[in-house]
Parts: sequence; C-alpha cells; structure tokens
Amino acid sequence: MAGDDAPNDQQLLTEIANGDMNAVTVFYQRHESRVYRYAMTKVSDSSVASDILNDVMMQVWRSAAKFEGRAKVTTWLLGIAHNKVVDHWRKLGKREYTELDENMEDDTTSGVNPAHATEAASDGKLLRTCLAKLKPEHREILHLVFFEELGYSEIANIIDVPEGTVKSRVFHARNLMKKQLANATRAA
Amino acid sequence: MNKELDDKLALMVNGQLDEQDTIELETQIESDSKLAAEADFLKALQSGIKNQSDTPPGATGLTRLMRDIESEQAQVKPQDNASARPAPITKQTIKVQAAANSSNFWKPISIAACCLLAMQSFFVMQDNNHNDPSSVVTLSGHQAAAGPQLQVVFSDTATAAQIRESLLGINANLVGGPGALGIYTVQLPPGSDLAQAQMDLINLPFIEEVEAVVEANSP
Repeated sequence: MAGDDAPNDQQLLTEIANGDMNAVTVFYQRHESRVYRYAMTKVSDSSVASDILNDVMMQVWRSAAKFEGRAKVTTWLLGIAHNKVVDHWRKLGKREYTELDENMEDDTTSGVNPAHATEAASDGKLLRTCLAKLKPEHREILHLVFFEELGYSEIANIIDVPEGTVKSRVFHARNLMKKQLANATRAA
Repeated sequence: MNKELDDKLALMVNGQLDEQDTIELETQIESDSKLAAEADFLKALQSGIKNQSDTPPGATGLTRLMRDIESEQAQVKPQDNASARPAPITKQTIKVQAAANSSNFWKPISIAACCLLAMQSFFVMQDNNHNDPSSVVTLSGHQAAAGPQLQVVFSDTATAAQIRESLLGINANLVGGPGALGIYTVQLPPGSDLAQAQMDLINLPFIEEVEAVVEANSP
C-alpha cells in the first residue's frame, strides 16, 4: 500500500482484490470488533462469534472485487455477517428467526417507571443480563441502532427485511428492554 | 406517543435524524416530560450498549484468517493451472487420470497378457486355416474375400479375460497389434455387421477407441 494516509475502506477492498495481504490485515484490524460484536448479539457465544468473524473476513477476501460501492462498506460487511449467522443457524437446523409478530400492540411498558429503566441502563452488568434475555433479533436491532448508529434503511438492507419491519422491531425491542431493566431494578 | 415520533426519537439519539427534524423534536421534548423521559432512557441505553465489552479474538483471529487464506490459495492454484488447459472429459482424460492415480504395476502385466493373447490367436488361426476355405490363397496372391476389420484401443486396465470375452462377443479374432500406439487389429467374419460390432465394442468400459479399417483400394 502506497501513501502515508490511511486508505479508506473502498481503497482497501480494491487492494484486497489485487491480492494485497497488508490490506487484508488493515481491513481486519479496522473491522474485527464491529463484526465480532454484531455476531455476539446474534449467537451469544464467543467461539461461534469468532468463527463467524473468520468466515466474514474470508468472504471479504474472496469477493472484494465484486464490491460495487452501491452501499457503504460497513453496510456490505454487516450484510455478509448477517448471512453468515443465518448460514450458521441453518447448519444447526434452526429457523432464521423465531416467530415474531411485528405488528402486535406492545403493552409491555404499561406500569413501567421510565426513570428506573434509565437508571438501570447505566449499570453495565444489569444491562448485559437484560440484553441476554432478549431474542437475538431484538438484541441485533438495538445493536445496529445504538452501537452502529445506522439509519432504518441501512439496517433494512443488512438484515434483509422491509424498513417498516425494522421500525417495528426497534419499537418492540426498546420496550422489552425498558421492561426488563425496570423489573431488574425492582427485583434488586 | 405516536409511532412516528417514536421512530424519530431513536434516530435523534443515534445521530441519524436530519437537522430540521432534530430541532423540531428537541422543541417537543422540552414541552413533553414523557417524551423527555423516553429520550433519556434511549440515551442511557445507547451509552450502556456502547460500553459493553465484547473482546474480539485480535491477533489470534488475524493469524487464523491468514492461515485460512493461504490454505485456500494453495487449493485454488492447482485448479487454476488445470483450467488454463481446458480439456473435454473423454475416455482419454479418464485414462490419464486413472494412470496417474493408480500404480504402473498392472500396465506391463496387461501388455504381456495382450501379447500372449495375440500370439495364441495367431497360432489358433494358423491351425484353423488348414480347413478354412477362406484362407485359400488365389494364384494371383490375393486372399479370398475376408470379413471387415476393426482397429481397437484397449484401456491399460483391460485384462486378458475381458479382451477375450469382448472378441468372442462379436465372433472376432485378434490379427494384429499392438502397434506403437497400442492399437490392435481385429478380424470379423465375412458378412459381419461392422457398425453393430463397433457399437458393441465401444460400449465396453475397457475399450477406448474402435475404428473400422478402410482398405486403401476400397472405393
């Protein structure tokens, strides 16, 4: 790789497509945390998440030349990660998603004190416990909105569902999380 | 709180809401305590999620990736070489692959068996020729009308028993070969159906080629 400035993601992909192993290293170091953490939200198992990270980076190496720049590199990358998780579940004979009724009226926050939930959210350990109780697709959506800070259309592209489903899933996930946190505070 | 407002609130917290909508929403939050409490919750939730520590494999993962890439490259290269010289899958291809895969142990034995069979056939024919009117030689030196001939290439793995059986199947005799290219000449009885004999032989798994012998003075 030539030049003093760090290459952007698209330049790195071009270099990877040309067989530059240094570019593979830079790309891996730049994105491993992103891919690993995303995988963890879905599989909750560090060794499986490591396998998925490896599979995703192998896929990047194989298909870097096919990246057309129609989406951001991170969107493309997380889309690959999503597909690898689906592959993983398929191998285990699991469905891609558990049955979710995205249109159901959510009343889970009735009687929940938002202040309690807000306070509990600042407790890292409690937050982790409550996140672990959510379904993988709810953890995933909260991760993509609040950790990756993505818009709804980008998320829709990554997880391959309509934008309306993304909005609905965000709504349900945060309400479920609010209820979990408020209940956990009350129990403590 | 309506659904649209709810959708915008999450986007305002993660910085994806456009400037105009953000200003409008902030104004609403100032005058709506419920909305303000929801915004506070989402900000706390985001902060908590961002602070979750999931440590990726780091150098170990990178080493594994490099090893896997090298391994895949090593597998891809021989295939590339093969695809550089594309060839249709023919009996010849299978023969080459089979020869490469198996030891050469059977090759000399097969050749010896074929030679033995050829010699045996020759002596048997000599013996039969005493009473066979077709072997009568005319005064001009030309042989009386004989049956059609075929040139046959057997696979390296063909056994003497297989060769014998194939020739008996079409009532033919081995009259020549193997030549430098491993071609045998097979004599059919007069009036034989040459095309049928060719079909019968080519369908056998240990025969690679069958061709009718075209005589130089034939029309």
